[in-house]
Amino acid sequence: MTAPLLSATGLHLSFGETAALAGASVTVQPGEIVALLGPSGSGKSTLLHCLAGILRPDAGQVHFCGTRIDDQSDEQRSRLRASSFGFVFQFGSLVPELSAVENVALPLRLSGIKRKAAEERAHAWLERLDVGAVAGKRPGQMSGGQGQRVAVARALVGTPRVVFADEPTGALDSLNGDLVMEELVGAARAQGTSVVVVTHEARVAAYADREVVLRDGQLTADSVLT
Amino acid sequence: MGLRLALGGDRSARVRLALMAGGVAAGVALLLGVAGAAPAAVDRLATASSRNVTYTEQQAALTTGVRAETSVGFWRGEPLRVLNVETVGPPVTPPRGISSLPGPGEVLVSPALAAALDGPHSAELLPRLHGKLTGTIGDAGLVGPDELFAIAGVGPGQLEGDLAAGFPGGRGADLKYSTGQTAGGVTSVTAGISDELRAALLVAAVGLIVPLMVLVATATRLSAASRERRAAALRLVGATARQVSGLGAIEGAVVGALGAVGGVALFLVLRAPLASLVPVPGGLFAADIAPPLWAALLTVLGVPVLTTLAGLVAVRRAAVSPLDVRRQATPPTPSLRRLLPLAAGLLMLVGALANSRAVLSGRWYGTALLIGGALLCLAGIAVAGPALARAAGIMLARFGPGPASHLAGKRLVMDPAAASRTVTGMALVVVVVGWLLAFLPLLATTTPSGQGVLVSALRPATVVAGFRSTAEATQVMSKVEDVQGAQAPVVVREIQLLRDGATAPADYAPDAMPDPSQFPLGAVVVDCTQLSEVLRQPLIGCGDSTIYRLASSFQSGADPLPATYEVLDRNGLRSSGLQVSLPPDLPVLQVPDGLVQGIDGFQLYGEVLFTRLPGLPERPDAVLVGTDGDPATIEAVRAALGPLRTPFPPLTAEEATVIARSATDGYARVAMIGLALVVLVGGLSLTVTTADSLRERRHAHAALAAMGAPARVLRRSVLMQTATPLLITVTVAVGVSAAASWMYLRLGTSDGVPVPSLPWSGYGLIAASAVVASLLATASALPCVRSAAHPDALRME
Amino acid sequence: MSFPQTLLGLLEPAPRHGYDLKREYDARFGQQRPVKPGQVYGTLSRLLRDGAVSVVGVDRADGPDRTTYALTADGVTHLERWLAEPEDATPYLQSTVYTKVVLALLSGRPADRILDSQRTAHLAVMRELTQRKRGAALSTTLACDFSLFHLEADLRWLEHTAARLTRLAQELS
Repeated sequence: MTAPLLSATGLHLSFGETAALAGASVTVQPGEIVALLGPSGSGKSTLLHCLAGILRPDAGQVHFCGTRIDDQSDEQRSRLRASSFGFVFQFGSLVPELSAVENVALPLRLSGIKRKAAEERAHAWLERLDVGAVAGKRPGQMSGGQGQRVAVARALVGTPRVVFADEPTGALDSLNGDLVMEELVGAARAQGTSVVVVTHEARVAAYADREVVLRDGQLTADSVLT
Repeated sequence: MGLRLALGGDRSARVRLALMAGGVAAGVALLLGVAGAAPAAVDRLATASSRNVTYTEQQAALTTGVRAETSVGFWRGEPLRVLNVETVGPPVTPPRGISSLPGPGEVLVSPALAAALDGPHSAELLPRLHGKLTGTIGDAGLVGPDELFAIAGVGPGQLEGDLAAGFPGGRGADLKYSTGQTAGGVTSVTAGISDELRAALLVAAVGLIVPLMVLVATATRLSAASRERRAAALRLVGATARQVSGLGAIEGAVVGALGAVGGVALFLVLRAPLASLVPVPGGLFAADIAPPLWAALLTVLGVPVLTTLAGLVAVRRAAVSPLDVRRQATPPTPSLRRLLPLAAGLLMLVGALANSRAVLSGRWYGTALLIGGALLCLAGIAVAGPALARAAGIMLARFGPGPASHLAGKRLVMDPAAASRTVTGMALVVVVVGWLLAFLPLLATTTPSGQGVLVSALRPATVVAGFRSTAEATQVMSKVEDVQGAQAPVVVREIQLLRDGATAPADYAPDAMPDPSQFPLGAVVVDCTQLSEVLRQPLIGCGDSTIYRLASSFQSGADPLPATYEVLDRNGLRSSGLQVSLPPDLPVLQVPDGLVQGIDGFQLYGEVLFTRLPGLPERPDAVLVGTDGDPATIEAVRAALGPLRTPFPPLTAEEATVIARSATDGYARVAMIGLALVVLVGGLSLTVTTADSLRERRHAHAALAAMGAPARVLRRSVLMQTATPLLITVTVAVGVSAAASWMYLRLGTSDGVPVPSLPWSGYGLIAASAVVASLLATASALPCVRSAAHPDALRME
Repeated sequence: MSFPQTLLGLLEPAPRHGYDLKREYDARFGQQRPVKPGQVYGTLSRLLRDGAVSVVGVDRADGPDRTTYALTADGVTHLERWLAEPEDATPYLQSTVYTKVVLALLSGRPADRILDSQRTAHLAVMRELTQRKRGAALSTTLACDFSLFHLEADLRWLEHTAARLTRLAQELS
C-alpha cells in the first residue's frame, strides 16, 4: 500500500459537553475517492473539518503528505487550504456579491494570480462543467444545480490535492445531484485529485471508491477492511 | 404575541436588542444634553445681565437709587469679578442670589471665593476686597459653581456714574437681543447675544441633532437582514402583511421605549460629572442643563415614534414580497437621481448668492433660499450616500489591488445602502463643523492680532493698572514698590496743554464750541528710559531730551506750534497752574502700536511726551509694573494696589486678552465638546454595526475562511468596505461645506471688503478626525472576523 | 425466500411440533400470506434428510401427526452461516433481512452486524452500477438507475431498522 495522502488517527473533539468525535481514524490514498457515511450527528462533518485543517482536534493527529497539520498555526493551515485543498459545501457558500466566474477565480486570486489570468482559467472550468452560460450571473440568479457546479469548479480550479465535499447534493434534486457528482468525480479522477465526500445518501456514496461509516463519532465500518 | 416574539429569542437576539436600545439611549441622552445646552447658555447670560442695573427713562429725575460698577480682574488665572454698589436712599431690588444689597464696608462673596479666602493664598485676595465678609451669594446669582464673584458695598462719593432704579429681579433674559421690556415704568436692558452667534448656535444644534438622529436610525437597523428573513418566513407561513408589519413596529417600539427611558436615566446620571468637566470660566451648574419641557417631551416621545417607524420600514420588504427576501434578491440599485437633492441644495445657495440683495434685506424668499439650501445640502448628502457608496464600490472592485479590495468593492456595489448608512452620520458632522469653523472668525469680537496689541508691546507678566481717583493711587505706590520680585513701577501721568489765550474746556459754552485748532493738546508724562524697561523692544528715539514728539500723534504733519501752554489735568481742569513752552523741532519718539491703540485698558495718548515735568503733582494716572512672572508676585502687586474699584483693574496684557476672548472661547469650546461627543457616539455605533454585519454574513465568511482565505484578507475587506465610502462621502462633505461657507461669507461681507479665507486646515482636521475615528471604530470590531468565520456557520444557509 | 433457514431459526430455542412452527411463523413473518402446511412439512422432511434437524419425539394421539423436531449441531452451524452472510443485493429482499434481524434479536445475537454487512454488500453493488453508468448509453444508464434507486430504498430501510433495533428487541421479548 502506498503512503496515504491524508490520514487521521484517534481524533477526539468535543463542542462544549457534546463529543463530536470519539477516536475516529481514517486514511485517504492519492487519487482515491472516499465517502464518509453516517446519520446526522455522527460527526462526519466534524471529521471532514479536521481532515481539512479547518478545526483542530482536542486529541489525535492529522497528517497530510507526511507532515502533521493539526498542530500548525491558523495562518499555516489557511495557506495549506488555499494551496492544496478545494471545498464544496451543501449550500454552495459562494460569495453572493461576486459573479460565477469571479467566485471560481477567487482561490486563484487568493494565491496571488492576477485577475485576468485567474478569470480565464475560471471560464475554462465553467465551460468544462457545462455552466459557462451563467458565468456572469450572481449566485442568487442561478438554480441550485448550477450553483453547486460553480462551487465544484471553484473547488477544482486551483488543482488541489484533495477536494472536501460536505453534503454537496443535499439541497438538490436527484438528477441535479447526479450531475454534480458526475462532474466532481469525473474531473477529480482526470486530475488525480483525491475526494472526501460527506453524505448520508447511499447513491452519492456509490460514486466513491470506498465508504467509511461513522456513528457517534467513531468509525463503525470501513469497506476497505472488509 | 408580537411582544413575546420581540422580547424573546435566544441570547444573541437579546444582546442585539440591548445594543439597539443602548444606541438609542445614547442618542436620547445626547439630544437632551444638546437641548439643555441652550437654556444653560441663556441662564449664564441672564445671570450675567442681572448684575447690570436698570435705567429708567426718567433718569435725570432720580434722587434715590443705586450706583453700580463691575470690575473684572484676575486672580491666579481665574477671573475675579466684583460688583461695587452704592445705595442712595431706601433699599432697592438686589440682583439675583442675595436678599439685600450690602451696605458700605460690607462684602458678599460666592462660595468659591469664600473657599479661596480660606485657602493658602488668602493674603492676596483680602486686600482686594475692601470690607467685611457678611454673607454668601446664592447659586441663582452665579454663572457657575467655581465663579469668583463678590458684591461690595461702597460709601458715597467713591463711584462715578448715574443713579439707577435697581436690578432686574427675576429671570428676564432670553435669547433675543431685546432692549425693551418695560414693566412698571422700568425698562430693563437685557443683554442678548448677537444675531451671528444665535445663527451659529442654531447651526450647531442642527449639526448635532441630525447625526444623532442618523445614529438612532442606525441603531434600529441592527441585524436587519436576519430580521427581514424572519419576517419573510413568518409571512410565508401564513402571517398577513399587517401582522408582520405590526411585529416590526412592536420591535421598533420596544427598542424606542427602552432607549428613551434609558436615555433619560443616562442623561440625569451623566449630567453632573460632565457639567463639572466643561471648560467654561466659572464652571457650569448641572441643574442649568435643563432641556425645556417641550424639547424633553419631543425627544422622549418622538424617538420611540421614530424607532417604530424605522421598525416598520425594516420589514416592509418582507411584508410585501417575502419571496424576494428568501431568494436574497438584490436590493434595488440606487440610481443617480439620489444626487439630485444635493445638487438642488447647492443650486439654491447659488441662487441666494445671486439674489444677495433679497437675502440681506430679509425678504422671505431670500432667507428661504439660504436656509432651505443649507438644509437641502445636509439632507442631500444623506440621500446621496448610497449612490456615492456604489460608485466607490465600482471603482474599488475595478482598480483595487488584490482580492480583499475586490471583495469589498463588490459588496459595496451589491448593498450600498447598508454601507452608506453607517457613514452618513460622520459626513454630516463634518459639514456642520466646517460651517462653524468658517463662521467663528466672523463672530469673534475683533481682536486685532499681531503688532497692534498691547500684549505684543509689553514684556510678559507686566501688570498694567489705570486709576480714576488720584487719591487712592498715591497711597498704594509705596506698597507696590515693596513687593518682592516687582520692578520699580513706571508711572504715567496724563495732562492737557492749553495754548495761551485759548479757552479751557471747562469754560466751553454749550452752544459755542471753538475751532478744533483751539482744542488743548494731549500729553503724557513718563520717563521714556523707565518705560523702555517694561517693553519688549526699547523705545526708538529715547535719548536725553525732556520733551518728545510722539510719532503716533494724532496731529499728523505739522509740529505743534512752538508756544507757551498752560498745563491742565487730564480732565481739562486747571489745577496746578503750571506753564510750559514747547520748543520747535522736537525729537520724535517711536512708540509701539500696541501702546497707543487703547485696547486692553491702557493707552499712551497724546501728541507730546515729557520725561519729567517739575512741579506736576505726583499723582499717577496709570502704572506699569514689570514682574518676574511668578504668580505670587503678580498677585502681591495686585494686592498692594488695593481693592478693585476701577473698570480697568490691574491686569497683565495676557490676562486682558483672555478676558476679551472668553465669551466666544467658551461657546467654541462647548460646541467642540458636543461635536466630540457626537463623533465618539458615531464611532461607537460604527463598531457595533460592523460587528453586527460580520455576524450577519458569517456564512459567506466561514466559506471563505474554509477555502483558505487568510483572516487578514477578510479583515482588510471589511475595513475597506467602511473606509472607501467614508473617504468619498467625507470628501464630498468637505466640498459641500466649503462651497456653502464660501457663499455665506460672500453674502455676509460687504463689497470691497475681502472675503475671509476658508479654514482649510480646520476642514482637514475635522475630516481627518472623523475618518480616523471611524476607522478605529471599524478596526475595533475586526477581531470578530475570526470568531464569525467558525465552520459552524457553514451548517446553515 | 430462505424459508428453511427461518424454520431453523424458529426451532433453535426449543424443540417443537411442526404445527407450532407454522403458527409462530405465521405470527411473526406471514402477515401477508400464511404459509401452507404442506410447505412446512415438506421443508421439515428435507431438513431432516440433510441432517439439520432431528426427530426427538412422536406423539401419536387422535388427529394429525405430532412429531417433535429439534435443531442439530449441524443445523445450528447452517443457521449461523446463513445469518452472517449478506444476501445478494437484489431488490425486495427486505423480508429476508427482516427475518434475519428478528431471529438474531430473538436469539440474542448482534443484529447490527447483520445490517452492517448487508449495507456493505449493497454499497459494493451500487458502486459497480455507478461505474457501469459512466460513458454508457442512455438505456444502460436508465437500467442502472432503476436498480440504484431500489437499492437505495433498501438501504434506507436498513438504516431505519438499525436505528430502531433496541425498540424492536423490546417488542419481541
